[in-house]
Amino acid sequence: MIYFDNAATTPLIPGLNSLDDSCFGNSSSIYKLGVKTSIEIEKVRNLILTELNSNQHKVYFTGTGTEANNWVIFSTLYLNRNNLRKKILTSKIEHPSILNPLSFYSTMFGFEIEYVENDKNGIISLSDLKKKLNSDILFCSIMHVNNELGTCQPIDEIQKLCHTNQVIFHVDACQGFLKKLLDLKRSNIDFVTINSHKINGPKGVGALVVHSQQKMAPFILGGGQEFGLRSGTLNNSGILGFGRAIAYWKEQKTLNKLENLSKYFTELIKEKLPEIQFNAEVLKESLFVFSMRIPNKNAKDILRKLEKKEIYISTGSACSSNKDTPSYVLKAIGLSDQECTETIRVSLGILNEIEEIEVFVSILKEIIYESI
Amino acid sequence: MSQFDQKLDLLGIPCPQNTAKALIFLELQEFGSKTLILIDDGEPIKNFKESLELEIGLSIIEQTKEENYWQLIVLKEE
Repeated sequence: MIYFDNAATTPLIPGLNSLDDSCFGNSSSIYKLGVKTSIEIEKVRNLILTELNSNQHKVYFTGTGTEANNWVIFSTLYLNRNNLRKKILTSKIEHPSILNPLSFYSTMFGFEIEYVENDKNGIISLSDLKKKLNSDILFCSIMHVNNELGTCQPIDEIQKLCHTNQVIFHVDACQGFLKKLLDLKRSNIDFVTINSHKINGPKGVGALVVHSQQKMAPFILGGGQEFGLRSGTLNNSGILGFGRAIAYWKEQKTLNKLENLSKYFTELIKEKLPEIQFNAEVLKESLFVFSMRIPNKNAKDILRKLEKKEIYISTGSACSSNKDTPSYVLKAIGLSDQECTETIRVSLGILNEIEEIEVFVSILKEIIYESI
Repeated sequence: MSQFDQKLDLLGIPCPQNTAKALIFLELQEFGSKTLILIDDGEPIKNFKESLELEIGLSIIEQTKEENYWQLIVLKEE
């Protein structure tokens, strides 16, 4: 099997599927077993903050990245429902876990959403952002790395512009965490969302990283876990697995491997299949997600034919690839409906190997040419 | 309070995260060093003291109650 859909989710790092259960104790219990679990969970919080280079933020664990995105939007809009600033800024290429709660809670709490323009590579227009940032804007949410295009936003510049205008800034960094630098000491972002399963950790664990000066409204009420803000017994094994995955990425120097795989992949595609067009100028901005168009071919047919060879890719994001409507992200960068149906997404991961890229390109070439 | 080498503020942090944070912090300190710990009155100080009794090499050598919190000096011994 060749798995090239790592932007959807990733396989667990070696050894993680046999994670021991020695920390099964409830981290809210005061006896030694509970304290031991609590210590291990605190170490994962510290590890996350170390990777993000911050001592000014707090980490709140959630069930998913989607939950963290929902929480930050609910909390910010609820706490500021009487604020005179009544507008929210975002982009049209955000993940549905941003766009849908923004729409829902904006209606609920009386806010209006504005969209910042992006270019044909899916990069936010800083000049449009400057134009739209004013005293009406309360909150801005922009993703770090786009899940369909792989393009990386100029987060430092966006943060500076937001804070110059006293706008609260959130970054959905689920795709980019550990893959592209996000330095919270340099870029003092108010809220950051991350999750575990995009970096070969277990599913069912996300986190909201919150600047200590920001207030949070509780999202799940109950026994008062996560500082009274997100109740529910913590997912110990998931959180510890998240920590193990972070440590693995750092110890194995995985980023160099991913960079080399990505470079090799794009070079081989350009050499062997020059008719394929990259939807975004990925070499400058992306590291592992490739949105590629195969002219006059239906992407779903390609996906099914690859599947028969046990090669797994996607036609869009995992959340939208089972819908018949063209991807709103691809439409937002100017692709026609026809071009959207010709688009496949290949996303590499740290457990992939050069040989898999060679097999993939060779089989893709066979599939494309067999139907001519 | 007498002299101390470093300070850890645990005010407002619920149990047992306050204890967990303290043990992680103390693990990183040198043997023979003294840490001033600020911790809330009530359950937090009670639970913290009980947990610390189970730890080898950590002892509270001084404690002062302020209005609604405690100042403790914890010694880390070999």
